[in-house]
Amino acid sequence: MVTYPYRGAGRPEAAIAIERTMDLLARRLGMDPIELRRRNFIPPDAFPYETPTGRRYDSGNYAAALDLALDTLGYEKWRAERDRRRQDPDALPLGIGVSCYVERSGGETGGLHEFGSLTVHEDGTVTARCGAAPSGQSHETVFPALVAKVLGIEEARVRLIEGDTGEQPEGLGSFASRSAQVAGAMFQHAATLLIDEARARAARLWSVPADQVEWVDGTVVHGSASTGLGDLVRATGPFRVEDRYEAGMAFPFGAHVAVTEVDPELGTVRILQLVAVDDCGVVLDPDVVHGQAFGSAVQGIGQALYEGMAFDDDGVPHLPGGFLDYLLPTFAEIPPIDIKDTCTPGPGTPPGAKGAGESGCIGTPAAIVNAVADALRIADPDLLQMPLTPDSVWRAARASRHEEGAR
Amino acid sequence: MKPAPFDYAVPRTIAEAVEALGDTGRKAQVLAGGQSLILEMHLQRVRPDLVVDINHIPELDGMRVEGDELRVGALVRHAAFEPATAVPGPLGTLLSKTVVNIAHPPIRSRGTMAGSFGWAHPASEWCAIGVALDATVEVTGPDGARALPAGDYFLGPHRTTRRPQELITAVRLPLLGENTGVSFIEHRRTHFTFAQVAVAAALTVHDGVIADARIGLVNSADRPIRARAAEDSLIGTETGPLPAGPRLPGEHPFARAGRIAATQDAAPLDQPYADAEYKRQAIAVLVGRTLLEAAADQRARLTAREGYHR
Repeated sequence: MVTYPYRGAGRPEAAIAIERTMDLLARRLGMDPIELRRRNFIPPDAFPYETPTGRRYDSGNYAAALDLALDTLGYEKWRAERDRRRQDPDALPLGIGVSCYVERSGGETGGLHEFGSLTVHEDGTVTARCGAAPSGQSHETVFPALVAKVLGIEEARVRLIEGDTGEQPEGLGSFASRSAQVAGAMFQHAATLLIDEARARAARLWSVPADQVEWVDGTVVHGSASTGLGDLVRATGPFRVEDRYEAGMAFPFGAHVAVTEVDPELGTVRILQLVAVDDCGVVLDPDVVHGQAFGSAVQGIGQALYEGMAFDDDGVPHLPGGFLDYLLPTFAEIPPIDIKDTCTPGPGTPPGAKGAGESGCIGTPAAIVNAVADALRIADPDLLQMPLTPDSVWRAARASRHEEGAR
Repeated sequence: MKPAPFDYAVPRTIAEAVEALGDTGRKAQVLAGGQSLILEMHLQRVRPDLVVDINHIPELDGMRVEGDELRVGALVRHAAFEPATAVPGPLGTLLSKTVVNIAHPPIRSRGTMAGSFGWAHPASEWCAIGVALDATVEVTGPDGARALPAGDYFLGPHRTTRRPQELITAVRLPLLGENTGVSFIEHRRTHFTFAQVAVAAALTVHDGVIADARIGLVNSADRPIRARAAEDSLIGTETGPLPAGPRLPGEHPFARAGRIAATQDAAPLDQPYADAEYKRQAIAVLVGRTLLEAAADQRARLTAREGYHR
């Protein structure tokens, strides 16, 4: 059996606790939950920011992400519709929920490094090896492209080998949204080492100082002399650079907004629109990050509405139908989802990339639960526990309605 | 997992199939669409000694109107009912509105209506319709053919009055008259899952008064059931102006019928994420909404007919 890490573990739980609390606090203060968040954002010029719990947030512009999310959603339009429905006894109640998350990516101190190497072959191609291991994050696309970009050569000339201790004995892996941030930074570093080594070899070959050898798009140049990578290997022997690279911890963030419609008689929740704005610093490959963000948002929908394990009184899992009762969202359950991004570069590594890919399942569940709470206007948020199955929502809806400004 | 070893027979006639099934020394299963059977065999929750594949028996295929009934052969796939025009009148509408709730298109292209009656799952859409409409299950066994009324046919989950040596050859459903309106509403957590609760309704209305009501409940007991007490509460009731819906005023006759169905007709069992209390709530709501849609369907048919004659 193949096992692999599950997105977001630990961070969704923290996000839902914080973001539900923010909404509860806003209600008690009689304040718009969005306004309360704005007032409490760490301003962009306060970074790096030491948090009371001992974290050092690297960079952020939280208001920019929220602004983009609300603009993309059409917040004013939905708020008008929500208010209209509150006056219409026949309409199904509608709610808007916001979640402004900050997550930590890369890993904890002592685990922020990655190993890797670049080997140059006689045909001028490069084999990249690293200790990360993909489970669908498109390393095969992103890492060779990053190495090729630094070297100034075609992407097709770089090949990636991962997940094989016979090829790369040491490695930490892919978790904590660390691949681009840590392994990517390692490859950028290794490519720089490769350039330095190539210039040093050419200098010895031509008996000139290394600082007089230039690197131009995959060739070493000195005056009128120039040599490509393949020729350099043939002239100077096996060519391999390797290193262990240590990155800084990063704090990606974003703003997710959900609009839900609730049928209080049945407890069904319908997501009418979902907007996910994520800021993972510098994006190495927009298509890959977009795909990750979309899949992650769908997983967040799964956490919010479907995925759950029931236990009997003795603590025994109660799933007589197996995965017929442990549900995942399928194509038919996917609402309109807008994926957008802002870019606040991460100062912890040369590429400026922060973690991506776990954002959706961190930010989306709290937005959905907040939206359902907004639709039902219930006073006790503890009544809404994920997954928001129809039976649990129906029971919450039966509870007394929240009164505006109640303390 | 793989199925446990089994023998496999491919009869070409009903007589050959019955002969294959007649060996009482071996536990036999009939394979039609196989959409439930094969999964259960893979999980080894069903371990037949013999699988009798009836897919090569031409006389079991096809459906046709016979008198005032629709006769559906044992090899007619779910997908055959997707066009509302596949079956005449309101019955065609009801079957077409129902069939899209059965799993996914690939499953509907293979699974059969008669197979649903054979499998007798409490959450089967077809079985609840069969019970509500007084369908007939035709079986043939070593002692000849029998016609089993659907109302007495279901005994519990996967248990029926069909004997192990008998083959279902067809299901007969009564056609519905032009004064009948129909609807079907299913409630489930995702498109992938079985119904938590679903309701089929057929209302026959004469001059604005309900003359006959049929309500079938899916997954509301250990077998498909007909909500007779709820039906009785509606007979003689004027349909009156119909609310816009989907939510009904509590005092509306359809809402009342829903509560009666939930409390007097249904005997729901606890399931994960749907205990009996929640299921009763869902039954009450769905019965009310399904009756409302059926009444609206009847009214639309009447309007269309009057427009045609004008």
